[in-house]
Amino acid sequence: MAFAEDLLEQAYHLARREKTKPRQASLRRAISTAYYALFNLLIREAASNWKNDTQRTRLARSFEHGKMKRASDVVAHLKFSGHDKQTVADLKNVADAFASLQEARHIADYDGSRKWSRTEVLGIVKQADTAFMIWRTIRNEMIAQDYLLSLLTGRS
Amino acid sequence: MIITRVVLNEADLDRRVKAVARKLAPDVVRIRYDIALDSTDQEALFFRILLSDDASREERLGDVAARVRAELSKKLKLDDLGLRAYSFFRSESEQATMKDPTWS
Repeated sequence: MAFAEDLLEQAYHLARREKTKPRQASLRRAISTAYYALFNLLIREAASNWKNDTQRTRLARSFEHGKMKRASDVVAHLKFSGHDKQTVADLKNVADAFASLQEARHIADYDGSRKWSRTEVLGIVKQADTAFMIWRTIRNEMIAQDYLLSLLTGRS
Repeated sequence: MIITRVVLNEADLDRRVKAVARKLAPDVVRIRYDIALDSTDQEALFFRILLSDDASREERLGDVAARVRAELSKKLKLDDLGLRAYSFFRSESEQATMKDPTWS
């Protein structure tokens, strides 16, 4: 399995650990891992468009979390016209998942007072999982490709 | 009134959120929310959605959560408001153990 898919599997593993009393450390790491799974999937997809494969790793390092969230926020609220409604809804779903996961990851990593439940965390991991599934169905659509480019620039 | 990038009528917002909770009962027990700045200093709605234990089962959770997010987005017209929303889900039995007043 590729790195992004491995991270998603690991997020589930962490979220399901300790059957009766999950540790906050496991739950927090599950959230962070789910975010990085989607982050890595989208970067891999964007970088794969670069013709010279020896430069893709350098290109992948150019993506910034803040710009990616800004671009995702724009797409989540953008009015697309002249495009297939289901494709638009699917793209918005992926963009919304990315922004939501980044916010959850920020809280999980930096707010020590916040206590998480397993349901909360599984809800977040499943949102990432759904984004993975949806992405596979729209990845070749032009608006999805435009989204990948906007993740690099932070603008739509 | 809550002053944000958009002006929200608090009573209207409350009414719409309660309508979503009613529509999605018994899976949704109640919905609490705050308007606060997110990690990028943007005003956002933070929803705390209490689910029944049955709706919180792992086999159902993904579908139930997606339905709640979609219904909140539609009923609150989040696309038009340009306001970001974050949704968090807990089960009734988890809340009974955690006794978190912000979820009560």
